Amino acid sequence: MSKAKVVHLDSHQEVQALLPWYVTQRLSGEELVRVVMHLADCPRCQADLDIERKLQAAHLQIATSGDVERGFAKLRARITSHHAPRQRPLTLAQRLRSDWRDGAAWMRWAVVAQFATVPLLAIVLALWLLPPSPADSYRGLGASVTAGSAVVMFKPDATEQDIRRALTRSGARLIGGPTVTGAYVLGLPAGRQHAALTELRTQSAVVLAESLDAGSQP
Amino acid sequence: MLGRRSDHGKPHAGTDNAVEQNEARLISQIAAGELNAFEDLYRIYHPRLSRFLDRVTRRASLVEELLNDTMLVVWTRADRYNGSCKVSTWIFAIAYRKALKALQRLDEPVEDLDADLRASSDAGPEQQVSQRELRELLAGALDGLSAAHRAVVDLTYFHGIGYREIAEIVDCPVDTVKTRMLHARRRLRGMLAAQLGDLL
Repeated sequence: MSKAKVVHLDSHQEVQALLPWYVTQRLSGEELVRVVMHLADCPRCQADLDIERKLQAAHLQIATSGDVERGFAKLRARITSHHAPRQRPLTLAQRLRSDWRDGAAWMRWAVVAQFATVPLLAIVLALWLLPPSPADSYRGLGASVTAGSAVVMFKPDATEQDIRRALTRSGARLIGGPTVTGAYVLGLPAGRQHAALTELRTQSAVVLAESLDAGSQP
Repeated sequence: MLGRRSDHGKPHAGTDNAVEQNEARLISQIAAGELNAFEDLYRIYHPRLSRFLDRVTRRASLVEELLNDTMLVVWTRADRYNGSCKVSTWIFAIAYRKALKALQRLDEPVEDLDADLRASSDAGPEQQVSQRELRELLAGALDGLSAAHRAVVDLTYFHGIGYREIAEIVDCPVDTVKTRMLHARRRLRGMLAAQLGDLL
C-alpha cells in the first residue's frame, strides 16, 4: 500500500517536472507515454497543465525588438576592419590547384616554360661545375685514345650494371663526375663520336647524352 | 527547430531536419569565408538571440552588443563546429556564456539559489487582468528570477527547446534544468497568483 503510494508520488513529481516540455511538444517515446497516462488519472496535473499552457502562451507574446539591419551593418564593419574568418588550412595539393586555377594565363605559361627550361639549365650547370681537367685525364689502363667528350646523365635508379653496359656498348670512357647535378663526362672513341653518342642515347638507363665538343653534330 | 513555430506556438517537427541541414550548410560556407552565408545565418538568428539575450540580461542596451559578440564568434570559429550538436545549440550556448559574462561584469548574481525559498510577497493587489496585462505581469515576474532561471524558462517556453538540449546550452546536468524550471514555475505562479485571479 505504502509502496504503491511512493510509486505514485515519484510518477507525479516526474510528470510535474516534465509538464513544460509536454506543453511545447518536446517529449517523445516512453517519456511521453508516461506523462499522458499520468495526466489521465491526476486532476492536479491536469490543472497544472492548463496553467502551463497559459504561461507559455503569455510568454510567447512578450515582445522584444531589435534592428537586424543596423545590427548586421555594425558587425560587418567589425569583421571587415579587424576579423578575417578562420579558414581550414588547405593541403599543398589544394593550394597548388587553387593557385593554378586562379592564376592569370600568362602565369600558367610561365610555369610551363620554367619546367621546360629545367633540363637545359641542368646541362649548363653540369658543364659549369666540372673542373677544367683534360678530357683524358681519367683513363683506365689500356684504354684507347678518345677524340671527343660528352656529358651524360643516368636515371636515378640506374644500376652499376646499367652504366657499365652503356659504357661498354658505346666504347666511351668515364672521365669525370658525378657533378652536383649527377652528370658524368665521358671520353668518346676516336672516329666514332657520333655513333657512340647514338648508342648512349639508346640505352634505357641514359637520360641525356650530349657532345661537349664545339661544332660537333648533334 | 528553434523559432520554427506555427501560429499556435507548436513546433513544426517535420521541418526540423531541413532547418538543421540548412544551418549546418551555412556554417560550412561561413568556415570557408563566405560573408553572404554569414548574413543569412545572422538574419535567421537575430530575432531568436535578441529575445533570448534580452530575457536573460534584462538590459535592452546590452542586447545588440552581446548578439554581435556571439555572432562574431560564429564567424571566426565556424571551422571548429564539428556537428556533434545542433547549430542552434552551439550558437545559444555561445550567447548564454556571453550573457553570463556581461552580468558578472555588472556584479549581478547569475544564479539566485534562494529564489525558490522566498515568499511571493511582491504580488500586488488582486485584480482582473487582460491578456496584455498578463504578458506585462509575466515579463515583470520573469525579471524577478535569476539569469540562470530566466534562460531555462525562455529556452523552454519561447524557443521550444527540449530539456536535454537546454542542458547542453547552459552546460549543466539534465536534472538541474528540470529543477530550475520547476522552481521558476513555482515562483512565477507565486508572484502572479494575486494578479492573475481567474486567469490562472
